[in-house]
Amino acid sequence: MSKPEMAISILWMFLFCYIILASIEFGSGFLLFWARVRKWPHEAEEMIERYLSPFWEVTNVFLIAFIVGLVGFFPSAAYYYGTVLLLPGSIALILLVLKGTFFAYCHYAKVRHWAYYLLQGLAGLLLPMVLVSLIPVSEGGFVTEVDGKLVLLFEKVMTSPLQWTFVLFALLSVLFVSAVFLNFYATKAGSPVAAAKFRTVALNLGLPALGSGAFILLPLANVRPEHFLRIATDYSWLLLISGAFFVTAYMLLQKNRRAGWSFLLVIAQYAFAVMAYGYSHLPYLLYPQLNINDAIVNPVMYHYLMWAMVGGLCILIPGLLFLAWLFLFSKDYVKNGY
Amino acid sequence: MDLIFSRILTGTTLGFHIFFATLGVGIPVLISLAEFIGLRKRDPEYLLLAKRWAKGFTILVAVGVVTGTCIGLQINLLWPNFMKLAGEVISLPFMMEAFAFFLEAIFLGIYLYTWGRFKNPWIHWSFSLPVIVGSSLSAALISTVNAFMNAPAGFKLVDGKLTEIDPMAAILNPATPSKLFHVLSSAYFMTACALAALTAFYLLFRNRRLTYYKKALGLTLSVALLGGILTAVAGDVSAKFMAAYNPEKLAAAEALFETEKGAPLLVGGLVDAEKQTVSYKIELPKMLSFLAFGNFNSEVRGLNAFPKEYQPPVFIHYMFQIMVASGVYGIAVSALYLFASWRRWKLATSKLLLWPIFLLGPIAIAGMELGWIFTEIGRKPWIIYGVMKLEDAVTTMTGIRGYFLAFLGLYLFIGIATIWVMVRFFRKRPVDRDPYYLEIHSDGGVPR
Ligand code: HDD
Ligand code: HEM
Ligand code: HEM
Repeated sequence: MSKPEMAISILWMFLFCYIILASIEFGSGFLLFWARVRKWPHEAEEMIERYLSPFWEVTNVFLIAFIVGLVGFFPSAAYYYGTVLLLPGSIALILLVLKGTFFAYCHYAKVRHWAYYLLQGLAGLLLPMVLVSLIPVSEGGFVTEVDGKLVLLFEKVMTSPLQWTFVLFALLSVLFVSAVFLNFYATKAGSPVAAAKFRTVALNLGLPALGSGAFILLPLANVRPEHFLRIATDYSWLLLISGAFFVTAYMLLQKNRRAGWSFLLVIAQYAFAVMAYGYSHLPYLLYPQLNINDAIVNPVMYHYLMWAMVGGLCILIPGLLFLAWLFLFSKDYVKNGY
Repeated sequence: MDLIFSRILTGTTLGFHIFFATLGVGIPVLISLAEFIGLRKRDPEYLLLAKRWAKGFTILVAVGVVTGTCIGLQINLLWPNFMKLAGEVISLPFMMEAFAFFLEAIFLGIYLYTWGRFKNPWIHWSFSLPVIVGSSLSAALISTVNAFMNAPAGFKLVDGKLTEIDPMAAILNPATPSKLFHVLSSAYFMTACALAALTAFYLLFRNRRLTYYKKALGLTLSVALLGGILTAVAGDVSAKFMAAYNPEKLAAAEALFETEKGAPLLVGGLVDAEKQTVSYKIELPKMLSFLAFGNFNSEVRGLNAFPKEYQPPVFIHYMFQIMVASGVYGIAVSALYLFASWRRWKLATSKLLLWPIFLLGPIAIAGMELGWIFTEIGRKPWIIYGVMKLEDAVTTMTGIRGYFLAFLGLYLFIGIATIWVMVRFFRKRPVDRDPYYLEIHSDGGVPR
């Protein structure tokens, strides 16, 4: 593996962890609101809060780690994306601030007003829809250079079918993934009433989520045909495996068996789909201006960053396992909250 | 115009974040100390103190985290050229900082949700240590980046190309030691002052003369005194650094226009930048030379010794003065309280002393904020001292004013909402109705 490929693979792992954890967090935030509106049994809310309490801060750090890693390994990415994403990035930040603080108000400060729930739930749904627009932008055609200045063709993005299929896909995926997870969590906590609610959401949204994902390929074939071709030929096997995982997970959900496995399978489903998309996207970070081979940081810094990465992972992985052991795999906590 | 607004927006985000971040560095230390004393002395009131601080802390952390994410993304959005260069030379501490955040975030979750889960209470206490290490380390690492901006090192710029890159030298640049020392000590100082002021508030306005509050005052003001002294020492080290590496900043901070041997230190004073005079001041003869170089007769260069375009604005003199004054005030008040309560003087918990303690909170916060503003504006016109100017670093995008207004509105909204929510939370849950408090005092107010 070449240096740039190594670096991008590591970054990919952080990004993927963020995608999964953030999907759970954002989706749960919305379901927290939804549970109140639809007057679901109180247990459903309790499940969501119990999971989120110790985990939500960690989720956010994955985003930070991805961003600093990207700027560290590919400094020109800071220049290109920093310039181009001023508007979408700022909107995402505002939503992120609202989501985080209002969740804290509801959860830690025990404010029970419905408007607070609504705000953090809505922000949680809008966030993935804004964050995902990074991907269509990276496909090229939306960024031009005028007098040596980079410009994002914002209107072109907003009217592009590619953008909207991604938005739809993000929205459905977030709810689907979080529902599958919460089904598992509630089952483990011995709360079948809550689990049933989450399972229904998962079953209702599973097929639309998959469909919207497959649907992305259509506008992609239009916007960047050679990328579409690479997915459809070289990497189609990854997509097939991903689809197989989905089918298995969905069947388990339908039969209401092995909630933990169905969640793992859904993670694997997304991992393979994202891999297929990501590999076929390489070597470009931003087509055609920025590719990983030109953008890679100087070798000295690369060396240090890698060592920092190794050292950091030596803290991170045991830390995360410990956290999971205390709050995810501990029957006492999951069941009773202590 | 876009440059000005990019600067104001960066400053606003940082100024907002830094308040919560500084508390994020300091509060874990105080919580850990309170729990330690509580376990050591078998005094449950200290444990209650730790618990209640932790409750408020969770809300503040949330704001600290999201505003931190804000600044992390925003510097890429507003200063893309700076980040491109920084990415090549000084991205290492950013990366390490992310792992320090992980450490903090993971163990904070563990600490907050495992009260009473272990038979041995020291296990629970030990989880506060990685939180302290994580938050102080992340503050230290981010401060090395800021130090690098004041005294860049670890690379050479030849025809616009970077060569001889040495990330370790960049982190351990000449500004790093004084900066880390000063930033960390001032964070502990400010947090202790803020919590002492909060306690004084309850004693003054809620008139609850509980032993609980006296213990809180003793603990917070001890930390404030120690932190204050360390901050002052670190400030002195910073001044010596500044004299050697950023002499024009020192000249502006001290409103010294002409180069002088045996320069005096000014206390107070109104600066007239046009006429180059300072009125209504107190002069401490030769003290500036001593402060800057450790020798009463050294020569200190004045502002006029530098080309006009490289002179920082002289109004940073006021900020510098207020910052130093906040430290002096904090040391004096906390020392007085500790002495008075040691001698069991009535003064210790009288209105006469509680009022100054109450004011210590806002004063210390102002000191910290103004310290940052002073050091950042004092670097003008450079974003990286001597290497890159602000106008070369700023984004090429336009309309930053709109972004500034949007974020300003956001911070106002969040700021007000946070205050409102916190006040409501603690008003509904006063100490003497806390279940744990009632448990402690079930036998008529005598601590177990
Ligand atoms: C509050 C705390 C604070 C902290 C932790 C920092 N600064 Fe700073 N920064 C400010 C407070 C500030 C400020 C006082 O708010 C400034 C000074 C003038 C202004 O408009 O905002 C500012 C300005 C400022 C500017 C605009 C240029 C200028 O006017 O000097 C940039 C690009 C940065 N900062 C970047 C940074 C980076 C990358 C830091 C971390 C390594 C950093 N600052 C630490
Ligand atoms: C340009 C300067 C800065 C940047 C880019 C920055 C970035 C960040 C980011 C991204 C976070 C969120 C991390 C998370 O999700 O946990 C954060 C939080 C934090 N920052 Fe900053 N920061 C800066 C300045 C500072 C300074 C100077 C300090 C120290 C005084 C500091 C101390 C902290 C702490 C302790 C937290 C954790 C939040 C909490 O526990 O309250 N930061 N910062
Ligand atoms: C008591 C005497 C003090 C002295 C002599 C002093 C001195 C200094 C100096 C010279 C700097 C500029 C460093 C530079 O730009 O390179 C500075 C910065 C700063 N000061 Fe102070 N200071 C004192 C007290 C305080 C107090 C009490 C606080 C907080 C409550 C504080 C907070 C800060 C902060 C946050 C900075 C910016 C970070 C840095 O540059 O280190 N200072 N101080």
